[in-house]
Amino acid sequence: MSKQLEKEYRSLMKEDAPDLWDRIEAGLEPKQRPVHKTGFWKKYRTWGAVAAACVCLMLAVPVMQRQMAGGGNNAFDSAPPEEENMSGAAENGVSSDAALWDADRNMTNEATGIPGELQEESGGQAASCTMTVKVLDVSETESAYTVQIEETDCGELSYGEQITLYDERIPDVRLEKGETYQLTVTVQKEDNGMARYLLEEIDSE
Amino acid sequence: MEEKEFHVCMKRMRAGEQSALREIYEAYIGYIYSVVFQIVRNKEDAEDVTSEFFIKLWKLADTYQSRKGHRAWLAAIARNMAIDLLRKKKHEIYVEDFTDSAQGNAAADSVEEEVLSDMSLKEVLDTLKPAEREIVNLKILGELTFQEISDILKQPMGTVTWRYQNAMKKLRRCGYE
Repeated sequence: MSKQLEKEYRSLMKEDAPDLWDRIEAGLEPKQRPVHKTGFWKKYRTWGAVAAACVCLMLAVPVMQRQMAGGGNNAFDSAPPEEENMSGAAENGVSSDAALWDADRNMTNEATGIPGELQEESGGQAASCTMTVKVLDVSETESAYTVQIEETDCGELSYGEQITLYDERIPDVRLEKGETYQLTVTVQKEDNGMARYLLEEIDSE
Repeated sequence: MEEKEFHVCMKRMRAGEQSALREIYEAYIGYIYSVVFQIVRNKEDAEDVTSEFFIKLWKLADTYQSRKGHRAWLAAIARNMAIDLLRKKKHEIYVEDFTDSAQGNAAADSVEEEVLSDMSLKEVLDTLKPAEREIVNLKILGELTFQEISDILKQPMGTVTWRYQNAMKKLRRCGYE
């Protein structure tokens, strides 16, 4: 087929074709242009991420500052020992504050392995010692005893030293003048720096 | 219009650009109108169907998948729309019918040969049988292969080529080689 025929044929067909554009254009339904969700979400996702990061910083910084101010102690680390003691006391069928106090004291001593370690008590620091003493004098109220140290693991006391023992923790106990006893004593440091010796238990006479 | 160019226009139409449809319209109005006219054989109906075709193409752009042979695709759509119109109007001239109905008698053919040399292209084309004219349309305007034409017309490829050769013989008599 010649190019001439093709060319003439095409031009002839184009001439014959009516102009229908106006009709076609009138019949076209407007298309809803797709909303560029990606652009929209991209924009808001970025700003959302920035806002979230700011909120996280605002929450995290004060907490970190508080922890650093507290010597780096983690708030979560301080509670468990007491909880463990409490649960231990409950397992032993012991209740009451005294049991908790004992459990707390035992746990602390076990943890360190050092007898007479200082412990927190109301009014100051306290240490538990064992000692062998000779009773030199008994007060009129029979609540205080003057004793002479014969042997002790309490570092601040030495042989022959005389101290006053108070039995306010076990008031029913009575020590006889001139007798020698092996005792457990709590050394309580007062706020003025003086030591106060509290009789805890008579181990043997 | 090249395949890539057509594909870009369809994408632009999907985005709502009427100018893209206008470009396709400019490129193919003659082709589509001719394809339709060969079937409906009526100017008003051909205009209606052609208009509907481009409106339909506008809608089809939303679901259009890139494909090769867009001209064949366009011709197939246009042709189906034209046949649908004929059925709606309850025309009894089916595609196969009008291909056969145009077969003239031998006497007419001999007269035809005498006057062909003095005829314009348009007049010569009018002497082609509708089935021949349709194939020539698809071949020249649509630049389709015989296989594509065969697929669109749902006719054997031998029939298509034979009819095309007959049409070319008539055109040669008029001096078109």
